[in-house]
Amino acid sequence: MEVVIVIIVCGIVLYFMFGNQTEKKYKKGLAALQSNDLDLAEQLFQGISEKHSDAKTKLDEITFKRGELAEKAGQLEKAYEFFSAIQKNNPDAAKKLIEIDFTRGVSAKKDGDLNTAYNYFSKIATKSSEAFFEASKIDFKRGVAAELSKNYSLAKDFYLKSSTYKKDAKVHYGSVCRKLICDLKIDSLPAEKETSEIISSSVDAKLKNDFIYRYAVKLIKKENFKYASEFIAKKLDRNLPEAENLESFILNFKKSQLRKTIEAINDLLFKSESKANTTEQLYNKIEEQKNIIEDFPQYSTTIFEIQKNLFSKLLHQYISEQQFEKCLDHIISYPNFFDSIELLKDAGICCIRMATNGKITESNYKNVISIWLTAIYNDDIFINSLENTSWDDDYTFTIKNAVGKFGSFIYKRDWANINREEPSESNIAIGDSQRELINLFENALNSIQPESLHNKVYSFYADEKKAISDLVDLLGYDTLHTTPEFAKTFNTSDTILKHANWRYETKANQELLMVGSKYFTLRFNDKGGVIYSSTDMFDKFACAKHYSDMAIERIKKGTQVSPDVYKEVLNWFDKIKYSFENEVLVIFNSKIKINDSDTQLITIMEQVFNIIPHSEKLGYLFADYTTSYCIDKINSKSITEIKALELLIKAISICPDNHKTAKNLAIFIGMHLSDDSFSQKLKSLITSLQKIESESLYDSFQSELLPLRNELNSLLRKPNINYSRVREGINLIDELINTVEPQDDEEANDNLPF
Amino acid sequence: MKNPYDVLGVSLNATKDEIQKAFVKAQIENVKTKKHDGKELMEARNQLMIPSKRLVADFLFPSKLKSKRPKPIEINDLEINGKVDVNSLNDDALDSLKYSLNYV
Repeated sequence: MEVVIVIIVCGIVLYFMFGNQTEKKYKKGLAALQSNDLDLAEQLFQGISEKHSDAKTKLDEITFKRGELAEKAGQLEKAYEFFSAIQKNNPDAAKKLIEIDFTRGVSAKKDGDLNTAYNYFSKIATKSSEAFFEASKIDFKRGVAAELSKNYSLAKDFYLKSSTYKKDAKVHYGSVCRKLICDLKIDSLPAEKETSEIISSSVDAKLKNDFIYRYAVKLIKKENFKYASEFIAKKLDRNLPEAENLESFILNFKKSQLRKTIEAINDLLFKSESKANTTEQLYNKIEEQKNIIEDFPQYSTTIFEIQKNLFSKLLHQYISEQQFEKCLDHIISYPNFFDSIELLKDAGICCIRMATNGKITESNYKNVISIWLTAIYNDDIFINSLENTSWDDDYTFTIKNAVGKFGSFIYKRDWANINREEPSESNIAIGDSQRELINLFENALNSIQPESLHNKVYSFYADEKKAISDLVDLLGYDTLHTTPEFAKTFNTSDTILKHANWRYETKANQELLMVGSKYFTLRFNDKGGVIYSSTDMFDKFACAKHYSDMAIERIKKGTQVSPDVYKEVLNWFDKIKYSFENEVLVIFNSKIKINDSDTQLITIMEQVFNIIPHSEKLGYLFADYTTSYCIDKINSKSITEIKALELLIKAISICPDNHKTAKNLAIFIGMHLSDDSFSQKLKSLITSLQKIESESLYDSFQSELLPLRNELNSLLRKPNINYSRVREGINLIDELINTVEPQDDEEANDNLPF
Repeated sequence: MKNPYDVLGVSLNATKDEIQKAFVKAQIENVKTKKHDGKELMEARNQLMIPSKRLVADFLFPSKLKSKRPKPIEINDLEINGKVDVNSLNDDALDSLKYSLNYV
């Protein structure tokens, strides 16, 4: 106890001796600091830095004062060192560092040392807006220097950097403008958005005019005179003589180009024999110079008239030189060529000649077939061609049985020798000629090689032909008949659909919807689902047809078809529902021929039946196939009796009139009634039999199960028998027969109100 | 596929009589020239004698275009006063690069 007291007393004595001394030193240090005796202050604070909590702060204060003194004395390096040492804990020191860097940057800039200046400014650009501004100005100057040495790519980089300083419009827009000028110098036309942005900006007029002038020259060099003229007139300072010079250049240039074109035209017109090649060159030249020619109305009418003649001339030269592919391209390049009977006919000629010359390829068959069918199904092209010869003047021609059902143009003119009477020796059937040409085309398609292309072409041809034939049958003469491919390629679908819609409104014939849907282009959402309007019947029909096709594809591939997806859509239209039914029956029948016990097929058939539960044929097929399947699988012991029982009950509930299923179900029950688990399962399934009204099943149960019941009854009279099991069997048979016993019709009718 | 009009050497407007005569003449000449086989001549004749077939021939082998030759275009007022070579245009006519040296 005494020892502890001695230690405490010593501690207190020592604290008063030394603790007091630290405080004394601290106070001395403060006094030295106040009198700017920094060395003494530093010495004193350092001595107590570990003992006094404020000593370190005072040491930082001394370093800051030293920095300030060095800065005042112009010793920036030294000042920088002092401030750097304490910048972490002293925000004022950090500010001082930025100020020093900025001062050093300004000084280097004054000395013309832009690199050093840039280094100082860019170092603090994110912290000091002034430094950012100075760095951007240096970037601009470096850009100018690079541009002077024709290093435009480097110059663009500098201008891009300097343009990031947006506080100063002069630097920002000046940089953007010079960057665009550099683009033009490296032969790249700046984007329209950038161009209009700089033109509408407050950029310096000299820079702006330089840019606009160069831009106009670039447009001229690219022979975009129309835009160049507009650009000069609207954008370039009209007081500048250069504006007038450029306009005068454009006018002279256009005149010279026009001169050359006219000379070439005159030259060709005087040639007695010209080839398609020459005509083509001239035709294209006029096409290229179209914008220039349009500016000289005193010549344009004549030249464009000649171009029209050249179009026809070229077309016939192509045909006589047998260049049918080129000819077809030439025709379809003419806007809405199909509005001209002559052009449609010539296009048809090209197509059939390409086919008979073996020129159908993977890349052109769709075009050739669709144009051919569109041409041949328009009777007018024949009627019109009668005008070109005189041998036919002695005959009359009938459009009765013509393939196009009189076409679209026929009522627009009076045709003296056309009628709708029966054909005779002097009344020639146009339809016969059309059919002969169709045969000729089809024979040509038949000889296409290789077989893969032939199959593709023929299937496409069959679809297109069916579509246009149906269209002709349903729409008659009031529109241009085209194939679906033609309609989609040349945008004629709307007209066809409009006419089909009119007809549908009066006739409500779903055939029209079926045909029209082929001309419809489906719209899909992001997830691949079809977008349709429930009020637009063609839209809705096309959507349903799409789903029907999709389901058929899945069935063909043996993939499951979820009834949830298809059930509603496929039942919108009877036409689709029944055509779907027919197609699936064909598919299932062919699959059954290949494999008579396919488990997956049973699943798919059941799914399809759920989509079209009205289909008696499908129900019958399902029951028949399932019954055979069960017999086969039970005989080969590949499925359990319980599974077979479930399938057979499902089959009879889908098709109650299937005698084969009813008979086999009855036999099957009779065979396995003594089996405990079987009879238990059967009891649980009796409720599903209640819904079935099937005379076949009732008859089968009676013929197959009553003898068994009698047998069981006789067992009851014999000794050593499990009477309760036998009674259970008898009861089950009674229940089965009672469940499927047909209702008395008369009784049922008694309940009806009338 | 040959043009029956060319095979028999008749015009698109030939009458039945003219076709028949041309056919006979072509057969006689063909004995010497062997230019066509007999079947070819017969097919050409049949094609032109049966009107519905002749329509097919007219479709496949259309007549050449008979159009009026347009008159040459007179050049009256296209005098050129100045250069027309685009390369003669001075891109630097309003050059502002030197001005930009002291821009900022």
